[in-house]
Amino acid sequence: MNRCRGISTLTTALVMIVSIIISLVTLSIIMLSMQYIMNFTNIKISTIKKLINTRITFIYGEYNKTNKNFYIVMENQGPTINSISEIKISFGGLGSYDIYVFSSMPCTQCKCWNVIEVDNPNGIWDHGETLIIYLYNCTALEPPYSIDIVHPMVGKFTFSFGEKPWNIQ
Amino acid sequence: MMIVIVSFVVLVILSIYSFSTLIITMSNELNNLIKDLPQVKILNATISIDISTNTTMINCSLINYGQRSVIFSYSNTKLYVIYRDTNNVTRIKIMKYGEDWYISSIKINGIEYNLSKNIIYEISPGMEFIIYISINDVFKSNTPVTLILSIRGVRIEYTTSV
Repeated sequence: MNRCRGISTLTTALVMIVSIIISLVTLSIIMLSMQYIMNFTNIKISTIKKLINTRITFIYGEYNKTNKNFYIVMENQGPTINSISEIKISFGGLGSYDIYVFSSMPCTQCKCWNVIEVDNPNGIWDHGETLIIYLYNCTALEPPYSIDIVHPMVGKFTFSFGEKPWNIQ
Repeated sequence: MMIVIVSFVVLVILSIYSFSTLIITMSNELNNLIKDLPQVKILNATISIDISTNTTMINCSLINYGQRSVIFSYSNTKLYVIYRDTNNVTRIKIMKYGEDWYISSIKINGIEYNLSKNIIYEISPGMEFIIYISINDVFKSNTPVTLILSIRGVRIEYTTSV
């Protein structure tokens, strides 16, 4: 009788220890998962904050029939971009997309771009400065037009334009 | 067995509480981010042309519908005016705050107060204000004019009806 009671007590003690271990392990897993989610969320929030504070704003874009080029007005609301010519630009219309190269002597035959700094012409795109980008393209493009601006300091920005009535001449 | 069940129930409650706290924190953070951005709307614009001086004047009524004040200064505010000139060529004018355009008056309780030119102004939430724009060009009549106001990179667009 006493032996049976001893075994029962031992079993209960074992079950208790095992359940405590299982609970602790589960709790640790859940806590670790929560910690991971918290970290992930904080990273996401900081990314959103960075995106909001570091950005290029598209103001206006249109095709100039007289000069046979597109001009796009943009504002830099992020950090100062030290060399404007290092910006990588891809541009295209409906169904076509090309990489454009920077050229200080652009012509309508090339797929190249040039720029006018509105506020301070020094080759640096300052914070808050407006830039007019001229894109030279001899092939006909169908709207909506799309432009990709890539620079290591600000990342990649994509804008579309050319769908509004005031863009159609 | 009871211990295991109780532990699991406690864990589930803890998880739900932590998860909901996390969602609320995230939502509050995002709301604060959105509230921090300037929320200004252009209500209307009236255009008048003085042919003798070759000048176009625009009086534009705006409202700060956000929950935070919006600061208007030379460094963080720009205005772009897109119009057709008398030769039907589309032009874009980049207007500088304090020089080409400025806040001419504010409305408090329906009463309009005139303001001085070339000063940094902080527009409170819900406040209506009027900006005065002067352009050294004549617009083509019966063509829409687009005003794009950029405050800290937030783009506010308004096109006049023909």
